[in-house]
Amino acid sequence: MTGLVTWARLKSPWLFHFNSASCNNCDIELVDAITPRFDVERFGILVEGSPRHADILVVTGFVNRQAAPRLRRIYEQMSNPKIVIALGSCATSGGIFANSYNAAGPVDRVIPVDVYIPGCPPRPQAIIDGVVKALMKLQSLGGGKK
Amino acid sequence: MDWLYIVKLIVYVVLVGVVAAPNIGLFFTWMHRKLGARMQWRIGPPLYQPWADVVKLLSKETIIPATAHKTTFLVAPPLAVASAVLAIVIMTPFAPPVQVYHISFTGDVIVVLYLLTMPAIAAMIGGSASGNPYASVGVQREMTLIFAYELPFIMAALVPILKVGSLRLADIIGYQLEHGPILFSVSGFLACVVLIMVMQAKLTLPPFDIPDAKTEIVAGPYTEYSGASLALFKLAHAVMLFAVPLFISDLCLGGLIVRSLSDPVTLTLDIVLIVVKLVVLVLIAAFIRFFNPRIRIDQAFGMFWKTATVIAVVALALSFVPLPYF
Repeated sequence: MTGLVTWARLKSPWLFHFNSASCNNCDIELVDAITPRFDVERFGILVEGSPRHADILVVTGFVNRQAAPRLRRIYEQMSNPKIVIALGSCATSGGIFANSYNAAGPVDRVIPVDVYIPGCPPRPQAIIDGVVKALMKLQSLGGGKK
Repeated sequence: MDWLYIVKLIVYVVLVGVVAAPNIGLFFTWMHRKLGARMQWRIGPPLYQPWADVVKLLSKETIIPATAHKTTFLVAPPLAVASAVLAIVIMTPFAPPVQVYHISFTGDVIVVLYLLTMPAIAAMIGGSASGNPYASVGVQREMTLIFAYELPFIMAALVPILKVGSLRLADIIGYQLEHGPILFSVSGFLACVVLIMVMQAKLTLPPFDIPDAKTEIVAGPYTEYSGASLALFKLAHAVMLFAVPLFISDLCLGGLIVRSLSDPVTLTLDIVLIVVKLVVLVLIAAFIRFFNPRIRIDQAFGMFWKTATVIAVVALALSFVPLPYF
């Protein structure tokens, strides 16, 4: 039974995309990654409109003080088990905004992050690779809850 | 009413309702997704994709929002699945003269008409119980859409009923077995066109995916649903993808009939016909879905009340013309 559940979770990762004060470059690349050219639906990846439906939260951009509570709220709205991907240089380390006056820090200072995808912006191939790494993390969690 | 009949009935209900209906519905969902992918020169999802989605959602945590009314919120998804499955069970895929496990009764067309509306109503109940503003907008749109399509739907369904003069699905199928499908008459053809238009709205597929428009109102009535509840709604959608084409093929295309179990030639022909009827209807829905953008709710309303209702009225009037092929 747990084997079936793990299999289903690996075969059907649904993404929710949250833009927390991003410059939109990573968002464009994420949208690029879900175009027919890369065809991520082969792996069951869908982009969902509601965080309640999603398994993987993709956060782009450096988190400012206005976005931080909203990001935390979005994270809490997702149902377990959930995975967080920090997409792009700003989300992973702060990037060029690291010393900004309205800094709430990179994503991992606000919510726990599982996979980091660096790049400014990351290529769609790198994003797909990051999702695969997120799935490996999901597999190591097994059928249990996070 | 002997024991054997009851046992047969239970076996039939379990086979059709629990085994066949969800699996065929999920298979049709996969067909839609695969066809959409091939139209965009993609490979598309593998065959197991809808099953993986449902199993995954069933295994996830179900969150009940603090603003939601708990009981109503949780009752709505099973209601949607149960009514869609029950509609399929009543619509008797095997009709006379074989009478395999024959459960058609007088007035079952009306029951099926109600049951086919129930998933949309369940979405409305659940959406309004969830206490989410996006869900409430979705519920308003769903309600408007139901008002728009129910009138032409029932009027188009009246054409076969009046032609046959019976409210029993088995009689309608039996009539078509004798006189040929109702589709092959002017009024029947027009009714079938209206039914296919309504099918698209009943399945909330583009151009009528107005209630759960992802780019406008998050996920409409389903916004707050997660885990097993969402899985049941997805399953209800999948089962409806089987139920509505089944209803149309029962009313207009001669039903899904196996005429004889002993003669292998007729049996093969009938099974091929069953598959062709269902697949053609599902493919029509898929083609309309992928070739059209979403329209506004007022445009949809106008389309149903100004176009579809008029076609249905004409079909209804033509069905009284006492000439062949009318």
